[in-house]
Amino acid sequence: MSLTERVRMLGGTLRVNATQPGGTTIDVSLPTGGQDAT
Amino acid sequence: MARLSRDGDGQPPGRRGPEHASPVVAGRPACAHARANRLQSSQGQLQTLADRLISAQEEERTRIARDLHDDLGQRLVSLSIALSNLKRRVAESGDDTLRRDLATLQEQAAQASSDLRHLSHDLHPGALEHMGLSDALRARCAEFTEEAGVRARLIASEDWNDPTDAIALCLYRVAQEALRNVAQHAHASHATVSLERLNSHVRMRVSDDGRGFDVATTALVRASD
Repeated sequence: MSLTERVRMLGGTLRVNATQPGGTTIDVSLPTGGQDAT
Repeated sequence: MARLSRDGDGQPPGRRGPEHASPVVAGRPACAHARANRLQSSQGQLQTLADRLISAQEEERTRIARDLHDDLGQRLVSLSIALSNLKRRVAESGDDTLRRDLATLQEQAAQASSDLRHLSHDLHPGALEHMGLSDALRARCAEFTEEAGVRARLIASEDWNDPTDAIALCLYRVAQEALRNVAQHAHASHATVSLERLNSHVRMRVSDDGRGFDVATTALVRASD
C-alpha cells in the first residue's frame, strides 16, 4: 500500500509538487476525526 | 421472439390500472433506501478492512523491528566486543597487519550495528509512542540534519496538539519518506516540516529547496511493501 493510498483510506489527501522551481513541496491533509486504527 | 410478460390476472405490467400503480411507485423510494443502506454498509466494511490492513502492516513492522533489535542487534554487539578483545590480544603479539585487519572488521561490525539500529527505528518509530508526533518529528529532523547534512527543522503552529494515533502515525510515515527522498534525490540544503490545524483537519507540509525528483519512484505513490 502506498502512502497516498493510506492517506486516502484515512479520509485525507496527499499532494506532491516536485517540479516547481526551487524544490519540492508535499502537502498532507487529514481529518482530525479520523479512525484510530493503531 | 420476445414475449411480453404478464402478471397473474393476464395484464402486462404497463397496462395495470391506477389502483395497481401506487405499490410500484411506492416501492422505488424503498428500493433506493435499501440500496443506500447497502452502500453505506459496504463503505463501513471497506473502512474496517482498511483499518485492519494498516494495523496488520504496523504490527508486522513492529515485530520485525523488535526481532532485529533484540536478536541480530545483540549478536552484533557481542561480535564487536569479541573483536575488541581479540584486537587487544593481537596488539600484544606485535603483528601490525593482523591488528589493522581486526580494526577494519571492528569498524564494519560497528557500522552494521548502527545501520541495524536505524533500520529498526525506521520500521517502528518508538519515539512516536513515547514523545508524541511533534516532538518525534522534531527529533527526526535533528537526526536527519546530522545524518544527511541537510538542515531540517520542524515548525508547529501555536494551537497544535497531536491527533489520534492512526493520523499521527500516517503523518510520521509521510514525513519519514519525504525526508528520505530529500536525502536521496533532492540535492537540497534545507528542509522544513510544518504542522498546523485547519478547522476539522490537520495539515502537514514537507518542503525543500532542492531540484525536485521523480515522484513515481518513491513510496509516496507506489506500494513500499
